[in-house]
Amino acid sequence: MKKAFLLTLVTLGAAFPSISIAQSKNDLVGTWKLLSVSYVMDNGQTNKEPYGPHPTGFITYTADDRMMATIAFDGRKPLSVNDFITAPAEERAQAFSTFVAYAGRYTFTGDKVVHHVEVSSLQNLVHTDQVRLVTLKGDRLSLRMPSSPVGGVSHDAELVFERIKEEPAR
Amino acid sequence: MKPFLFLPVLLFLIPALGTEYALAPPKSDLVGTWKLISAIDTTDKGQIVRNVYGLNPTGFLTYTADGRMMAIITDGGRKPLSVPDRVSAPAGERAEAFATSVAYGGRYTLDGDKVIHHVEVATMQNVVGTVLTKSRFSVFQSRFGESHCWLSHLPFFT
Repeated sequence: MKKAFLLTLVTLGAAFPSISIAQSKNDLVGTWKLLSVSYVMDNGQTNKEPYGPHPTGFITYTADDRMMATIAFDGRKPLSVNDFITAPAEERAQAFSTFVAYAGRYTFTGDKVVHHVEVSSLQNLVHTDQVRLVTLKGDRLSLRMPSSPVGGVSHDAELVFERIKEEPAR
Repeated sequence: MKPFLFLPVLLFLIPALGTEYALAPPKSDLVGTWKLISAIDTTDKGQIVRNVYGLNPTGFLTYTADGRMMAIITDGGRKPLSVPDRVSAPAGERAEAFATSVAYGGRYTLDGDKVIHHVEVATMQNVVGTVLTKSRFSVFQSRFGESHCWLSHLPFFT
């Protein structure tokens, strides 16, 4: 009986390696390029392109527990004045609304990652813990963020990333 | 005046307590996360402007072993938005928040005593697709003159 149980466990483990092997931090470490962003609103409606069809974004997790993310909407225009301080206020306001960046420490527990924010384009995020539900499948990383209010509407957001494999810098 | 172009400038390796490298460091010296200590601007007239990002700015710069970099710096004394939402906060607050933060990311390469940032994403869209070259010795020419930031490697400061 005991033998049969063990055999079943081993068989299950072989058939579903993801069950028997928890996701480790090493699976997260590296730089990931944003592929897509989608929102599911409280009323059930979905928005497949809240950042435009081709947003640009990166998130980096380092082996020594640091993270940094920068995400920009598709279709952002250069400022009319090549200076982020003296450009017209309305252009700066618009540029601010279409960009997110933050950095800090992170902790990873296999099914979720917590970003301990130390610096952010949105100052309100500093010293907060941002919890993201993690799904890792090969070179794809999904981060889901339940109930975040943006633009006055609460929604669940999902960001999907692909691992970047770069040539080492020379 | 806080020129964007000098922001992520190169590093002064504090851990070695003043030891400067005569040559470009091997890549392994660069890889890791760096915390901003201070930023200084030198105008084209040779005037030194200290505290370019205000007192106690917050900033990090990460170089990975596989050739990626990302940087973010915000001014000291920055206030939260009255509405915690980057879209629906008052426009004046958003404009101010934009002027007090810089961030960008992309690939990096090394060329002698310089590190070159190939910008792929940035708060200021104008620099996306451009190449920013930083002197290894933390001083370089920006359009406003020489500028540099001092950064320390995190493990030595936490």
